[in-house]
This record gives sequence, structure tokens and C-alpha cells, in this order.
Amino acid sequence: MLIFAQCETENKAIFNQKLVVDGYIEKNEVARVILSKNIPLNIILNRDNIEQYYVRNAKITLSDGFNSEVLSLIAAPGLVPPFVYKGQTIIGQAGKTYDLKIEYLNQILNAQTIIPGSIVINALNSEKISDKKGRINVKFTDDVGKNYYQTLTKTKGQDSLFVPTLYGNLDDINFINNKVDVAILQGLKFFPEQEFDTSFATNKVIEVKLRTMNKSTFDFWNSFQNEILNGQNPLFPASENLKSNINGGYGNWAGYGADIKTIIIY
Amino acid sequence: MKYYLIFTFLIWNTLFFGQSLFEVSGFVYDQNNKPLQLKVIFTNNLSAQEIITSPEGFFSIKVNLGELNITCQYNDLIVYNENYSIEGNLNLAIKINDKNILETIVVTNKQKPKVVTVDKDIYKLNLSQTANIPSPSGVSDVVKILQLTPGVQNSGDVNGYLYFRGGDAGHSIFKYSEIPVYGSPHLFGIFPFYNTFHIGEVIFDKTNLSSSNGDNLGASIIMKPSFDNSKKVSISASFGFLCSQFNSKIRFGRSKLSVSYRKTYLDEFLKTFSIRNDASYKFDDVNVSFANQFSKKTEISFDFFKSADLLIYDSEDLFANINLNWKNTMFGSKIKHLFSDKFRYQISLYYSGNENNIDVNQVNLNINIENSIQDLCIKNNFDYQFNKLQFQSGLILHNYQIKPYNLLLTNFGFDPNKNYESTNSNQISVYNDVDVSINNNLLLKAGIKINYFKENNFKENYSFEPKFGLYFKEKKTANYFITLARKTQSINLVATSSIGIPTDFWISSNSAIPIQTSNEVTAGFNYNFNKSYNFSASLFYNAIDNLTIYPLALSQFNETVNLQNDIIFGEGTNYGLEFIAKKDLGKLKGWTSYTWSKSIRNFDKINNGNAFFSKYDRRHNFSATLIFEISSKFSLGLIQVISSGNRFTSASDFYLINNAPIKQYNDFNNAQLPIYNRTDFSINYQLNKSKYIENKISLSFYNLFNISNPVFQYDTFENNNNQVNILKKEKVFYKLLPSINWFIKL
Repeated sequence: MLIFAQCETENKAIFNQKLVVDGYIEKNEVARVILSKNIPLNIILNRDNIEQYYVRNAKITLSDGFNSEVLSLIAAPGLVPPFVYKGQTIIGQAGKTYDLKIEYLNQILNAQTIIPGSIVINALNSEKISDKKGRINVKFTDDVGKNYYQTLTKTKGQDSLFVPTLYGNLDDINFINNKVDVAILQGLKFFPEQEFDTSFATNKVIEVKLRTMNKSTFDFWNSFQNEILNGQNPLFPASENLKSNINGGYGNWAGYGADIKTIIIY
Repeated sequence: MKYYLIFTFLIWNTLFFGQSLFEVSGFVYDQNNKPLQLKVIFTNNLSAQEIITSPEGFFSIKVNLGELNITCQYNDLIVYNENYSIEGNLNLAIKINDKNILETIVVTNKQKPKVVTVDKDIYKLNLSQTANIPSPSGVSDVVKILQLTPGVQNSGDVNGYLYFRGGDAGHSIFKYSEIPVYGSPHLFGIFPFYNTFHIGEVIFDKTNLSSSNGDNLGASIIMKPSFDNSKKVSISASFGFLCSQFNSKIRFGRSKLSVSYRKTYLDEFLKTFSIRNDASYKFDDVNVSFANQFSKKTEISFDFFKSADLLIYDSEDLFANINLNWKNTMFGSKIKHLFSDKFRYQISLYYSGNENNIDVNQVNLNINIENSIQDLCIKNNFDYQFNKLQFQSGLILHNYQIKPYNLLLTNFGFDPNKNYESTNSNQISVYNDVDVSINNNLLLKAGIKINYFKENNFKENYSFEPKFGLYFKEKKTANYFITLARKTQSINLVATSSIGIPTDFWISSNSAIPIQTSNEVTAGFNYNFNKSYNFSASLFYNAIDNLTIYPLALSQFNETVNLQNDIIFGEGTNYGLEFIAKKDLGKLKGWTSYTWSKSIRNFDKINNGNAFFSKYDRRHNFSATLIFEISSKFSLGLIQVISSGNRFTSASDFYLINNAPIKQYNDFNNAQLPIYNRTDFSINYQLNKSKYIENKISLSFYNLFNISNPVFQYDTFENNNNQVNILKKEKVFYKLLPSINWFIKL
């Protein structure tokens, strides 16, 4: 046993400090960017040392090709980290390209995205499956051309952001016809409360968002879902990193077309 | 290819020099001059041939000039062993005293056949002698015993595949009476897949130079059904906590029949003892084998195997209710005919089918995945002698119908429409192997196999497999060998999961999915110190092209495109040193084996094209298997396994996206699980044993010291009052598994 132990190689864990970008600009909305650093897995995190992984003093510049603005840092309770860099003047428009430049210490990160046309949710249908649980279907009409969709939900008064639904990344190649009626499963939540229930609570206002996006962002969310579902799965363990369009960092800078509708399951 | 053909032609011509063969024939009788039907093994120089005497006790065989050893085995025991010097035709009347036959019933230590015999690179496992070796279910497990031999990587707990000399799971296919088994094992290998009451002998040919058995890159593993020659009717049964099995062997006239059945009652056991369990599991299987000595020269046999498994898992980890069921059906028939002393013919027809069905339910959404493979095969094999050359030629026709991945979504509202296309492919193989005894000490084997393979609408593929082996025997104490071979495999197993479950599927090669090829060289020796102690060692190297890795999980069904796009292709290089030291006789017997090996992969799309270790790259594999017969009634069994851990991809850091922790992974398969360490122990007590009844009880402890041998390690996160807690976790499926088994044979 001792000989074997001496012969075994150490598990290599190489840590490289990187900036992490979680940013997007939606149609008719200003840009929002959450900036943080990656955290080594071999440390004990607490309220004090987690602060060092939040990035609050970066300069983030947004440009739409004609105009540019520097995003401002504001508090965002309910988000982790609880700060967001927010735009003020540049409003997202379909078909436009948006460049992001992040300057932090000696690093400069760049990313680019485009906002596709948005698609309206035609209807939300719900069905009760027990006193406390229900399910939701989303109806919309697939537009001509190549489209990638994502469905997200947010329970009002409970969730601080929209959470992607399980299997909610939709490539229009899979639609039977352009009248789409998809069932959605609530995504897995970690903050502010851990919740792994894939059905929806009854008697609560559920906001459902339908996003459109380009292929790069669609690939990012597919890899995100694989990590969420299989990151602790012994049968199909995730081992691939998230796809990223951030040059020199982790994460994603996305442009979305979006529509939101609400429903209560009675 | 023409160079290989010229090479083969030259070898045959060079070695083709005339020398006479002599006929050795005769009858075997008991002391009352009644004919005996038993197995006779002729070892002439370095090659061995086995025949079963006819119901009249007759045998006939052609042998070369020189030494000949004739061994008669009755009910697995040697009852006759003599050496002859062949200088001309020989006619024998072998008389075996009844006393010898009776003594085989009252078995003594000295008379028991060996558990494992090693000759060149071929291991023969006698399953009638493995009952005292501990196993998790209390009955012998062929896969777990083979994992104790050198060259076979210990794949850890919860994995029923055999990983041999760095190859992948689909490279070493078990063959049940020559019928390949494509299915997944019972409950990830916890229960033995093969009923050892039904199988008499396992032939594990590690270099496998025989073209008739070579449709795969790895070893040839043939399990031969057994019949009882000593009784007209015999019944064996084994009763354990989790599973029972039954076998009956019947002999009538010139026919022999063996029927076996097994079933688990794991669920009922857990319910009876109010043990909470998220999973429900059932399996049963049935084996039937029949053989008929139609005439002096013709033997007909038939084999059937059917198994069905159902696993229901309500998983919190996977957020789903999962139903898996998998089935295997195999049947086949063989006709062996002796046209003359120099010319034997065998035709086999078989069907082997495997169907898997996976149902995943999440709220009202349902994901159903089906995959299957059907192999219909006709084999023609001719054995003939021409002067000093022993030829084996043949023609094999395969039809493979494969459904790799058929996805059906219910209530999703969309249809991925991205099923991998079902395929219908045909393979025609012709081969010619030759054994040449150059002199009493030197044997040469050479062969070539040419395969034509065509799938659906794709262009045809040709592949060829030249093989060469040189064997040198030094007196009776040592064998030395070196082999060179190129092997190909046209249908391949795509392993989707880390432990071998029915989501794994078979695919057919075509012009977009290349045939897997392996070029290998092996060198080794066997050394017999005396009748009891022997030692074997081998060096191996193989380079495999067109290996596959499937990177998508079951939940990534919306990312599939087609097999050519989704499968990642690459290369593998494997090499190592292995040895086994055995003690075959005495109260304490067993073996110890050790393998040092490396298994390296190169895939353009993984790890930025840099080399990485395969999942089952285990640098060290050590095992010891001991059986200690304290008295004629008491025996102890012990297994000790220590080996390097499996490779896996670890994460180094994490970050937050959309309020969720996301892990950043290191290089592919950069990390290793802890050292695998397991001790199994069994106590066996013979309640009684006579000519009419055998009655034994066994208490077995799998992983006696309750050591954690994880199959997976991962980091996970916990939201602790809005703080992130990083937790190191590992998945251990089972530790100490005690079992009690009662065995009875009538």
C-alpha cells in the first residue's frame, strides 16, 4: 500500500485567476453586467473572504458602433455578487451589435454580441397537479429564419432573477411546425434559496420570459444546463467547461430579444 | 494489403515441407469393457487438440512424429495420462479402472483440477473449482474472477465490463458458446451476468490469434456450457439472500441437456427487513444447452440464453424518476462433422440481440430512449491437415441491425427529430490460419483474415488482419512466445456513462465512422517450477486507431446532430508488463497477479489535442487469490485487490453565473480516484458429499474491511445562509456486502 501511495501522481489542480462576466443587453433595456473572479475550490469561503472575489472597481464600456457609455455600479440585493454594472443611455435594439470592453487592473477583456428580433409569447397555460404544485405551457409562433430560444421563469416576491427552465434551450430545428407549445420545468435555484423542485408553486405570480439569442449564447446556455444537471452526476459526469465569448475571461456577454408574461396557477 | 498477402504466402511456402502425419485411434473402456464417453486431450509437440469420444468410446486423430501425451478427463478429472512416442500409426485400447472413475466422485485435493491453467497467453478457467472464491452475490462471477488475472484492469465497483490491456469496454466481448453477448451486465456487475452452474470452462485467449473468434480488438473470452457425463440426471441449486440459481443436467441416449434459471429477490429482501431504498431492481435469466452425438462423425448442439433486467430509480441527484430495462436474447446451433481424419467441418448459426429502454420522467415530461443491436451470423469453419500443416479456414457472414439512439419526448411540445439513424450492415469475412510444428520445440502460427463491410447506403469498407505467432518450448518446463497481430472491429460500443449502463449503445462503421484497428505485439513466457508452482509473464504493446468518446450526457439530447458529428474520434497507445504466479496443488493454492501498464489517448477535440490518460489507466493492478482447504469439509477463500484509482476530470475552481455556482474543469482525466483496496473473504463448509448428494454452505464477505472505494468524486455547493459552502463529496455505491449461500447438488 505504501509503495502504491508513493507511486501515485498527485491530482493536478491548477488555479488561474480570471475575470467572470455575466452580462446581457435585452431589447428595449439597458445593459447589465455582473463582474466577479473565479474562486479556488480548495478554500473555505466565508462572508469576509468572498468579498475579494467581487469586482467593484472595473471600468466597463459599452458601444453600439455609434455611441458608447461607461456602465455604473449599483447595488443589486438578491444577486451574487450583490452588485451590477448598469447602462443608462444605450437601449438595446434588435439587429444591432454591442461591444463590451472591461478594464480592470492591467487586464482588458473584450466581447461582442447582437440582439436578434424578439418573439411574443402568445399564451401561457397552466394545470394543477396537486394542491401546492402545477405545471405551465408556453405558446409562441416561431419566426422565419434561424432562431434560438430560451424560456426562463421568476416567482414574484421570491426569486431575485429569471432562472432558465430545465431543457428550456430551444433550437427551432426541433419544432414540429411554427406554432410552438412547450411544457416548461422550473430550473434549479441556488441563491438566495436552494430549490430543486421542477414544478411550480400554486397561488403565486410566475413570470415567464421568452428570450431569443444568437448561436454563441445558445451554446453557452446549453453548457450551463449540462453543468447544473450533471455537475454531481456519477453516471454522466460533466467535464466540459462552459462555452464563452469573453476574450480572456469566463462567462458570457449576450444580446437578447425578450418577452414576458405572467400566470398564477390556481 | 498485397504485401501482407505476399508475406503470408511466403511464410506458408517457406514452412511447407513434407512430413507424415500418423493416425492415433482407439477406444476407451471401463473395467467391464463398457465404452466411456469422455474428453481426450492430445498434446503433440506444442499444440493440443481435444475431442470427445463417441458413445462407442471411439476416438481418432492425426498427429505428427514425436512425443504425444494423451490425457482423458472424466467429469473434469484426469483419469488417464500417458506419454507415447509416435513413429507410426497407433491403435489403442485404453482401459480405465472403475476405481478411478469412482474416485473422481470422492474428490481429494490431489485430484481436483486446476482453477486456472495458463498456456502461452491463454487462460482456462475451470468454473467447477471457483465456488470457494468469494464474490458479492455468493456465487462465482466470471467477470470478477477474470479481473483477478493480469492484463485486466480492475474497473472498480459498479462496472460489469472487462477492460483488457488498455482497450475500451466494447473491445473484449464475452461469447456464450461462441455467441457474442452485446448487453449490459446485471445491475452494473453487482450480480454475475453468467450462470456458473451452466458454464463449465472459460477460455480467455489474451492475444487471440484465431481468426474464427476474432471480430474484436481485445481478448477472446469463450464460455463453454457444461454437461454432466457421470450421471443421467443431476440437479444443482444455490440459494442466497439476494438471488438464487438452479441448473439441471440430463443425459439421455446420445443427447445431453443442461437447463439453468436465475432470479433475484433483492426488492422483497429489502422490504422484508424494512430497508429504505430509492431503487427497485429485478432480473432473471434462463440458459438452455443441448448436444446430440448424431452419428460417430456428426455432433449437433443448440444454445439459448435470455435475460431481462428492470431498474427503477427515484433519484434526487438526477431530479428524475428513471426506469431502465434491458434484455438479451441469444440462440445458436452448431453442427460438427468429421469428414475424415484430416478434415473436420463446423457450421454455426446464431442470433444475438440486445434491447435497452430508458424512461426518464420529470413532472409530466417524459424522455424515452431506445437502443438495440441484433447480430445474425453464419460461420463455416474447416479444419484440415496437409502434411505438417494444420489449417483452419472459413467464411463468416454477419448481418448487424443497430438502432443506436431512438429518442421520444412526451409533453415537451417539440420533437428533436435528431435520432441517430438505424443501420443495417453486412460483413463477410474469409480467413486462413495455419499452425506449423517446425520441430518438437518450435511452433509457428500465421493467419490472415479479410473483411468486407458495408452499411446501408455507404460505400463498402475492406479491412485485413494478418497475424503471426512464434512459440518455443524448452523441455517440459518453459514456453516462450512472441505474437504480432493487426485486428479490426467494425461495430463498436459507444460508452455514454461512466459505469456501463444501458444508455451505452453500439454503432456500425461506415465511410464516415472509421473501423477501429489495433496493431499489437506481445512477448512472454510460462515457466513450470514443478507440478504445483508456475509463473507466467508478458509484455504487451498495442496502438489503436479510431477510438471513440461520446461527450454528450443523456440530458443534452437537444444538442445531438448525427453520429459523425457528435462522436469524437482519436487514437490510443497502451503498453505494460504483467505476471501471474500460481500454486495449483496442496491445501493452500491460488495465484497472485500484477500488471504495470499505461493507457494513453490522443483526441484532436479533447484537451486541445494534447495526450491524456484513459479513464481506466491504472498504473498498478495487484491481486491475490487464495483458497485454503483446512479439511475435507472446511475451506477458506481470500481475495486481495489493490490498484491505482480510475482517472476522472477534476475541477480546480468555480464561479457564479446567474446566481448559480459553475465549476471550471482541469485537463481531461487529469485526476485519479484514491487507491482501490478491497479484501474479500469466504468460509465454506461442506455439510456432506457423496456420489448422490453434495451439500455446502458458504458465508462470503465482499470488502471485508468496509473500505470506501469511490466511483466518483466531485465538488458541490451548499447555500448556507446566503454563503457558499464548498463540499467535497464522493459516491460510494457499496462497501461491506455479506452473503450466505446454500448450495446443493443431487
